[in-house]
Amino acid sequence: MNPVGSIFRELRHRRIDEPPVMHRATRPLGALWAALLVLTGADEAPAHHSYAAEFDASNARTIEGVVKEVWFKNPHIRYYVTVVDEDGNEVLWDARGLSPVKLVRQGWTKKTIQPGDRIKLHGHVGRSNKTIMSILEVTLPDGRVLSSRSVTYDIKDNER
Amino acid sequence: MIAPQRYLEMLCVVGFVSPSAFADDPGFAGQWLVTIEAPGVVPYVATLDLERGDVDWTAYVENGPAPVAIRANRIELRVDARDRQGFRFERRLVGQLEDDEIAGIVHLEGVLETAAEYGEDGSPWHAVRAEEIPARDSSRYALKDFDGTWVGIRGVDLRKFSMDLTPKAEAWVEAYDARMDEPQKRCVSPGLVAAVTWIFPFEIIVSEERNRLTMLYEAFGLHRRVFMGQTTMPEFYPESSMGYSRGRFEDGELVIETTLLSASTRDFNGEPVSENTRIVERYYLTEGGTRLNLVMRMHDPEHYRRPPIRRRAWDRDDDSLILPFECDPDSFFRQLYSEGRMQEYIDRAHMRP
Repeated sequence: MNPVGSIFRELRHRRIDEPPVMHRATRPLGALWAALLVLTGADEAPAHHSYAAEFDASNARTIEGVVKEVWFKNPHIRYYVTVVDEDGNEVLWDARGLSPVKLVRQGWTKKTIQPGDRIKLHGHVGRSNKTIMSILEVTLPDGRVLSSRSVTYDIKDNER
Repeated sequence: MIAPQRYLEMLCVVGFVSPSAFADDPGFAGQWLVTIEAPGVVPYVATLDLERGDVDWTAYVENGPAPVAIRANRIELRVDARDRQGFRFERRLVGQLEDDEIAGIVHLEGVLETAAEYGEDGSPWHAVRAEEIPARDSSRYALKDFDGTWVGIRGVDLRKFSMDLTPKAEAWVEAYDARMDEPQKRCVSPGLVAAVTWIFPFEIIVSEERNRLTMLYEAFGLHRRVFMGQTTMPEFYPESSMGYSRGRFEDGELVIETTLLSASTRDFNGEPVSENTRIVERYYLTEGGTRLNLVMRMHDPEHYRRPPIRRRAWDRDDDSLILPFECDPDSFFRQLYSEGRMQEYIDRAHMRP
């Protein structure tokens, strides 16, 4: 069971007198697609899944503000939070988390965060500078930190 | 004058002809079953079909295309997948064929630190020929053994991302905008495939005296009935996202065939499901009846050249409750309104079958 180097890479550098054994093309453009995967690393987020379409996984930020409204309902909870930006303007953020049926199993209920609470939110922010956030962690007024990362919650209730 | 073999090799290099047509086959052709032993999860399992055509080799994992390169007895597969949030990453399986078994290491590329799969880089994998896998002996189990509450466990399914779509399906996916078209965002059923393979728990109620099963899914409060031993269907039964399910019990395993499905989407990437789709689920028990396993194949030739395969495993937890799942799309529509996209949403009605 020895790990081997990338055969795709070898194929790109093959010599004329040393042809590789085989390569693939599942469809007429398959070979081109395969080449693009190799060149790009295939790490581009797809636009066809709502989370990946709406949030930038490479842009995690922390914001702090006052909860204006709590929306503790399926399919996803939302906290509307008023945040004062660098210019002193009040900006309303739409921060959303997992579905309540997942959160209540961890003790995170609709009473955990109330309107008027000052909270700190950490999460992936929206694409195109939208003031939306997918919550990874919440710091409550008493300093407790709630996490919605799969690595800290019971994974049984936290993936799809 | 250039020798014919040399001439062909030159064509290979400039890309007109694959050099694979001239190489010996070291024995990769056929159907394999891949197992990945990742830490902290039930081993991933997937079918791998390696086919040799007149010119090229093709590879399919769970019936979805996977770029493959093979050199002598070495193989490299690139298997795209999605994490639980829908971000695409790749498992690069490199290995060697020895004694009619493939074994190697998995490398992850493009996976997010926040993804549950992040720690799986470097995991070992191996593949054996499908025909050499010993048959399961499920005969000790009765239908009533499937009764109970089942809680999903991690692993088993690779969440293969791309499938072998027809041009019609590719056009649909290209036009799909999950921000507005994803049914569950407006509290509409995500469809049978997603509902069944989602992580939410579900309960099976076996009613042998009525010859039917009732399945209660926490996800979106969905339910379905499975009519055992039935060969016909009522003509008036309407299409729905969960369809009409008929079951049979085969050597201790539960096989369900579902038709009368409404047009919907498969999984979470917007891939379409037609009304002519037939879904076959095979459930079997292991671990002394405490683990329920599923292999699901979706047959929809209008949209898929090869039937997508999904898997799932659950552990029995009869103390677990199926929670109510009341859903309210208010916040979804509020966002559309605040972003000025309500008219666009209305204009996209054709994307919400």
